[in-house]
Amino acid sequence: MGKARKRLLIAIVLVLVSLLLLTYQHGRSGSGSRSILTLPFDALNALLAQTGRTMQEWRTALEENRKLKSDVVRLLIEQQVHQEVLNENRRLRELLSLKQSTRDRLLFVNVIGRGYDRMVTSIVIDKGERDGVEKDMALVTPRGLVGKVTAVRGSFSDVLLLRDPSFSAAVRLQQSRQEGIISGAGGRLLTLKYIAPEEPVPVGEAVVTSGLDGIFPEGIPVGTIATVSRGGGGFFQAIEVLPFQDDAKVEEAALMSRR
Amino acid sequence: MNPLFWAMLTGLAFVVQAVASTVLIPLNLTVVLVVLFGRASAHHHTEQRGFSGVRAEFTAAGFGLSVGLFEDLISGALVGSGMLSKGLTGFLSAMIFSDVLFRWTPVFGAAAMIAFTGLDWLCLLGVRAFFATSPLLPGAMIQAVVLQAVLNAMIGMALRPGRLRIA
Repeated sequence: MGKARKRLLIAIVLVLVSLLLLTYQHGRSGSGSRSILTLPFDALNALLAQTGRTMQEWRTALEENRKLKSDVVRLLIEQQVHQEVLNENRRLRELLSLKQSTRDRLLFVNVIGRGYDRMVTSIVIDKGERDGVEKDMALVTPRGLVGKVTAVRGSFSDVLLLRDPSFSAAVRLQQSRQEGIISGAGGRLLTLKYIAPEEPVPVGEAVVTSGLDGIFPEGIPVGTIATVSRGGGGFFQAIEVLPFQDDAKVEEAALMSRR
Repeated sequence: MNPLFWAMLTGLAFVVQAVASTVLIPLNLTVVLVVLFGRASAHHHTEQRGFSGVRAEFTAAGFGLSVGLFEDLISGALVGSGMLSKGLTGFLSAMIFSDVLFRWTPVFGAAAMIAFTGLDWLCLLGVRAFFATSPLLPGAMIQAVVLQAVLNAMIGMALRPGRLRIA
């Protein structure tokens, strides 16, 4: 038999075997022999399908995880924004309560920057001459005194802060009613001057403005006594005062002028 | 290359094909496997006897039939459709690599893969047209044929089956 005939024979046998098998199955459903034959393959098939499903679930879980992470970041940012709004709301409510508690004229301002002059410690506020701001008006928050207006421009003003060495105000101790002058010392603490050595000054006592300087209204909280030193043989005690209001945290405040 | 190697390769091809078809793209690696076996068979018998006779075709058709049977049983389809397509693929690839193509080049590899993938689908469609009652979806089918042919062509271009032997 020639090669071509052998090939043809193989091809015919191949096709015939396949067609016979197909014809045998045609019209029958789920014969017993086939079920037994396919049992291990069905098991393998189930295993592969399960593997596929598991991989699909992993992919879905990974995608969900990625999405949830981005959601968490977004929500954290939103939460921070909301917290900021809440804080602003609280500060504004405090300012409003200040207006209700004082007889003096109040002008609400926002702090818009630090002072440009490096020789003095000052801040810039968003109200100026056009808004009725005048030199020497006191800048206060519900916590206490912040500083005083030193320069007024059209729509903004400079405020000299408490802790600047060139700042001074007439004050008194809230309980003992001792009077003195408070000045900035360049640092965080203020200096209370002109308190005689024999006067008792308890640490922690509150200091308020006395109004005797003709600039600041009476009774504005300034700070508390932090340290007292009677040594050194001087004429007065060396007293340091911790201000109630940290000027680094002032965002909204009110200008107060004597009526 | 012993039968154990081909058995392992067959198992691996089925696993990869099943997993990839479930989660990624519908592969048809069994066609590639049978074509490679047909070529290896042709070379083996030609090297042994100086000419292949019909033993190469006989062996390759047998291998194709086995792979097709395995595929039919796994897929739950009518037993015979895979046998017919893979048997013919093995037979024809062994014949071609015995008498027509003596060297595997990327272009011949790609062309062979496209042709045999097409033949595989043609057999499947013919069998389904005669023996099955489930409807055919031409759009999805053409898409699958083209995708599998392109993927197999890429595999055919990348393969260097110079050292593959059947025994």
